[in-house]
Amino acid sequence: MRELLARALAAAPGYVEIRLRRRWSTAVVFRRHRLEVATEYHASGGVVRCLAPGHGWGAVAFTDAEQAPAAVQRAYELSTETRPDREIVLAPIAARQVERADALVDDPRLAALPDKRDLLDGLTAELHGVDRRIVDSRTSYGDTVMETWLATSEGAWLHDLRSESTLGALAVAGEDGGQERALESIAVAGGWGAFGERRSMFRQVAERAVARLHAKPIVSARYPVVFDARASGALALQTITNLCRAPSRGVDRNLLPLGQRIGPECLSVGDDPTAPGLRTSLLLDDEGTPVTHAMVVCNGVVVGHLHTRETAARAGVAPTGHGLAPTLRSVPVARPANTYVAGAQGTAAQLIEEIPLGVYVADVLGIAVEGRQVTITPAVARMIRGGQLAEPVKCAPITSDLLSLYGRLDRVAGDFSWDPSAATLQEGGALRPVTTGAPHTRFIDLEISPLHA
Amino acid sequence: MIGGLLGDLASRGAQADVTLVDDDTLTVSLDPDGAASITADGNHSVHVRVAQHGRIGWAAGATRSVRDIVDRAFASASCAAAAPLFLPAPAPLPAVMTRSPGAAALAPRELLEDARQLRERLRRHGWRLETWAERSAGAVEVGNTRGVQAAYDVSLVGMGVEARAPDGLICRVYRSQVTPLESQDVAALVDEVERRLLPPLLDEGTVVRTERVWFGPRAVRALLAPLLPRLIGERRTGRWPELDRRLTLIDDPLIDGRPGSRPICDDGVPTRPITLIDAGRASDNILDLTVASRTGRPATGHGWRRGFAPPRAGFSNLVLEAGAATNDQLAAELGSGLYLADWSFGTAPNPVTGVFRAEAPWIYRIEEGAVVGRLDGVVLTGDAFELLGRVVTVGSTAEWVGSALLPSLLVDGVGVELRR
Repeated sequence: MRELLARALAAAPGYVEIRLRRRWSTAVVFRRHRLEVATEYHASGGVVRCLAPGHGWGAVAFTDAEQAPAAVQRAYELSTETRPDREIVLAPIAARQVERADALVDDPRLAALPDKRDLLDGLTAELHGVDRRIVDSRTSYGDTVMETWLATSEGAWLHDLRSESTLGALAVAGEDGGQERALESIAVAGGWGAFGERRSMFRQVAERAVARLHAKPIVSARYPVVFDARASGALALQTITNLCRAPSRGVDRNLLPLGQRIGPECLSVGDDPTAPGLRTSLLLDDEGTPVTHAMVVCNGVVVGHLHTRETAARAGVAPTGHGLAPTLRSVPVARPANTYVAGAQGTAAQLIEEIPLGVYVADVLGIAVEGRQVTITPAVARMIRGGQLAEPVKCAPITSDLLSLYGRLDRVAGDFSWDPSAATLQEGGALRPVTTGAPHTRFIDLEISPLHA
Repeated sequence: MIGGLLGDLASRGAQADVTLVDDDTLTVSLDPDGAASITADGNHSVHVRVAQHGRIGWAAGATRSVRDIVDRAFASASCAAAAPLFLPAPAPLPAVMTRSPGAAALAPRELLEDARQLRERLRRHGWRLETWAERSAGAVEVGNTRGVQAAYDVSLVGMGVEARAPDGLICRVYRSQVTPLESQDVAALVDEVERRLLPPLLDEGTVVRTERVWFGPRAVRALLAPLLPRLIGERRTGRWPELDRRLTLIDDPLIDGRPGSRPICDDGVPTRPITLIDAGRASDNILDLTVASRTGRPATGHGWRRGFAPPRAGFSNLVLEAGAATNDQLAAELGSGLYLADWSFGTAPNPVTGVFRAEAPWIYRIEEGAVVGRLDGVVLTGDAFELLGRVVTVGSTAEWVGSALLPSLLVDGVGVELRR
């Protein structure tokens, strides 16, 4: 492979980057007790990017390694077709060569498809056994082995082999015409042996859906709100790190400007692709840049952005190693890998015990950002009464201006943890795995509106 | 190629069907700082489904690894539960235009020129602009071991722009169709961006009330979204919502030159228009071959088997029948009120209940028939099903939004919250 890619690199002048991936995947899906999907995929795909001197990018996606030399020539031709108004410059990097393709310890390709089906069948039965009011479910098992080769004309080289496995559960409870849902997922680096005991996860999803059946809507008012670690991490990912990604071609979001205060002293947010043991940690990004731990917010102030080589050169800073491609065949853009809110002081119990009447939000179904407006859709919510967690409630989406939201952040606990769920970040229809980590956080005086006008 | 593949599958004693898709896509984009990029992507995929000993399995991948895909499909079948699969027999195909030679031949230079034109026409406003133009061309082949073998060529041309308003809001509009876009399409995109971004921002203070709202075609697409899952697959038990009698929704794969048009579905079933909602009442659901076989009903020609996704039912071109009211009449009927140009339910739509609470960044105040400004910070609340029962007027001018042809709707009783 190395010789083939070296030959391809020599097929055109200027900067050339070749990335090729092979992916072996398994997907098993049950709808209620009915097996809907049990199959394996083997995909191969790559992309060549070429920057002819004085021109713009030419890129060609391809399927097999043998096509790489022809793809380089075509990408060069496309590059020369462009006549950009400004020169594209890439920030310099140290060309590193990384070979990390040892045999996998727990290779999911070695487990038979019927065994994976049986695993999920048993977990699905566990979910349905919780309560007769579970009327529907969708459960899933997935595993992926990914082999990556990356070579650039500047001498960077990466050969990487990794695997991950995921489990997901959606439970629908129904009674008297009403329906409620709950969902949960887990993603682990390695094979399916890394899951351990997961029956309790499937039981808890069912219990949460049933508990929501008789939950009452929150009375519309302003409340202090405590977000659990997962919700806090997801919020930081969508509303801070996502707005600190230097815009690449094809994306023009509202970048939070450097130096802007967006929150209190206790708020610090970073992205650390070097964090050990996480499924989304890396050594080199998809441009061959060594990854770095980048702080984007320190003590409430925006101090940095995530960069590709091109955006870093434009901003006059060093690349951070966040040039990541969302799919096998797409070009890199600045994206987070492991986003976190730094832990501060105290426990979740301390954050809650100071609240006479408030709301506790565990997990979120979604967070939308339009301009500077943020909408948070809670997954699970409970009232806080007299400093204690109380009854489950249904909570309408919480909407707020971004700066107003973080202006109401008053405590960040010290109980930091990385979230093991199968989180992804969507961009242009493509999903790329991402990990978030955070402690509990507390916001004062957030407006919770009625569920339905 | 598909004939040989089906022969191999039949020789292994299986019922089988196959979809082959070839697609070459060329995309050019001009970023806000004037840099250009051109991307080419040639994709050739195969999707194989086999039924052996009453068990159905499937696999997908690139055409270069067909043997591997076939083996995986059989492995998938070997661990599946028993289920029926009734493959369709050969039948005459309807005529529909799915490819334009002019579109398929568009070169990078022409696409760059289109993207530049679009940028130049919007540049005078000083907005940050990203423009793009794209064309794809290819072919789809479908076949099964009962003798279905069909192929059709496809093309698609698209153009779009992202323009960022001074307050940071990003306006995204696009057009796509089978034939090359003309100068009037560029003009329409320019007009839409200007209509969305030029009105001044209004400050109306805090308001919480229900109002009559004019949903433009893009916003109607969102309002229909919670209803669409009820029109796919087996008819669910439970109450069908009380929709306005003027709402008739058709799925029509036989409209020439639209993104969802095709003569045969990926399950090998000839396509035909079907009425999904007839005068407010539920009519037919779309069924792919899997669900149709399981429920003993005929498949409707809505099978999709693309990429690595499982076989599924999906819409082609959705058409909501237009009414009689011109835009002037809609404005007159609205009087002073709100116009919603574009909308989405955000990240957590709830198609089960229809209840929503969603920001509406593209909502405008209309007074005496004219837009006077855009409102910032509006949140719409309500029940989408109830709102579709409170339609006051259906517009006469339908517009294509992707693969949906939709008129405007004037709707009463929309929850409007405006908080400054």
